[in-house]
Amino acid sequence: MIDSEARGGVTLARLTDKRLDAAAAPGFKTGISALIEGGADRIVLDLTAVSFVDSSGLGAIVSALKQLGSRGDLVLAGLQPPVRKLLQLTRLDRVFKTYDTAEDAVAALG
Amino acid sequence: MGPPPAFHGSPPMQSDILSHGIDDEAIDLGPVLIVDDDPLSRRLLEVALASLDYEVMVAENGAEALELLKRHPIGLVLTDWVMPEMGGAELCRRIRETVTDRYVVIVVLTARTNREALIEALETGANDFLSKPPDLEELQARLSAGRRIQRLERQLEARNRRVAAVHAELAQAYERIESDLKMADRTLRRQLPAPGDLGGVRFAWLFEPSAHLGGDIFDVAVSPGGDLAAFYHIDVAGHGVPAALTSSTLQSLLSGAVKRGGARRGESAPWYSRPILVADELNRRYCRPGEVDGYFTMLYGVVDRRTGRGELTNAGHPPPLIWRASEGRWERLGDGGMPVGLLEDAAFEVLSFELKPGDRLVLHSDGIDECASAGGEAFGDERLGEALAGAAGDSLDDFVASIAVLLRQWRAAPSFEDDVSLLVIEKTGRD
Repeated sequence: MIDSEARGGVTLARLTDKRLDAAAAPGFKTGISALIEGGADRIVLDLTAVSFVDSSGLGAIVSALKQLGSRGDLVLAGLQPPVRKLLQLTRLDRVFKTYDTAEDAVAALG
Repeated sequence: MGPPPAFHGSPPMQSDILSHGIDDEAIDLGPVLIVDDDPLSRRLLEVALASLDYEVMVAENGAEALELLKRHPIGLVLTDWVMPEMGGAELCRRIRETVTDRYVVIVVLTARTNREALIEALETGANDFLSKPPDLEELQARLSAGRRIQRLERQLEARNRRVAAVHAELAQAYERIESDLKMADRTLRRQLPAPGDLGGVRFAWLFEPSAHLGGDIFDVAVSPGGDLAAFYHIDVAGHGVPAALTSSTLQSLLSGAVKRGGARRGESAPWYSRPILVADELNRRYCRPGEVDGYFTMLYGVVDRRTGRGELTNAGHPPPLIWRASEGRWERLGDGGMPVGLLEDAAFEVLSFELKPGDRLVLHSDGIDECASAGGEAFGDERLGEALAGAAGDSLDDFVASIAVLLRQWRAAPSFEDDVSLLVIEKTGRD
């Protein structure tokens, strides 16, 4: 589930579930897609609560990035060690900007 | 093979099941039963009910009433309260206890001022009251109300029957899907290579599927007339039929190309002999603009069977492990890479390696690294490396078997969360 909040022109999208996996990925995809179609173009994905991301979850995050494309920015915040490890393994830590906290991210994009 | 599964259109909508009502005129709510020991009272009620067009039955006492209820589809009972042998309260109790195939509306005839009777009647299961002798209009109104309850109850019953029927249909469809998936799983499993000796290298593998049909596939293939052996381990994202179909397609594509052999027009060397080209080509095929629709992680490499020299590309897989026999230690090769099918501009890298006689290269899925114990601890790849070191003197088959045991002990649960698969390649001492 995504909790979204507008912070000036930045959309703070906080994931509330511990796991972003095959079961949660479709709901996440729909939620983020709706935000992007609704005009959000500077998005902070707050993963502070997320301790596990699997291949489906990862695919959903990258899908959101691709959907946004050159129209905007999608950054990640609050990565727990297992999630950070996964991003490093897949070299996606070079593709996504990451921030320690959601506040840092919002400040950077704002 | 039997006929294809018949899944006519889509399953019924919940709204259809719930809203489909019953035509009021079409239901026969059955006769009304009058129970009264006083013949005059009985006759009066009988005539009144007949004038209201109800089908009427009569009983002199509770025992007769129960008998009639057993043999006829009576749904509404009008009973006196004070009767010898069996009173109204006792009759209500017995009706509720013994008539279980349908709901019977019970209207009790009693003076409304008799508060104790009212309470007892309600407690023993009566639905409504009528004063005695009843006013005709009030009789009509209360009977109508009783009929409404009967109708509601019938609708509920009918809806339950439809739900049960739909459930049976769904259960059947589910069984068919389950059996199809099991067959698909067996078909995929048959495509895995027979462990063996390719001359210069030998290999073995482990595959413990999870509860769901998965997307792990791997193979070792030799190109004709050459010294090159290609090997790969692929993990398609997700589970179920789409992942399984992709993994099967990839195997046909890759192993097929290697076994056919030969370079394509304009190429100086076959594309399958160049891991980066393989990754690039697959990435082009599987990337979709603006979205991610199926991607996979992969280790793809080639090794010269004579020299043991080779190269591989890692597209998002856990790093392969190498056992260096002469040095007596194991190490990881590289540290990951970008998966195939995620981003159009993914850049793949190649890692070179050399396998000396006795050296072993282990490719494995993250189902092993992430295999969680009962306490939630991940297996990781350190334990895999230690097992690799510990199995130095064992045959490849024994090594693979020991990993299977280790993982099952670690997991200590009836099934694995994710496919567990491993491919090990050893450089032998001879060509």
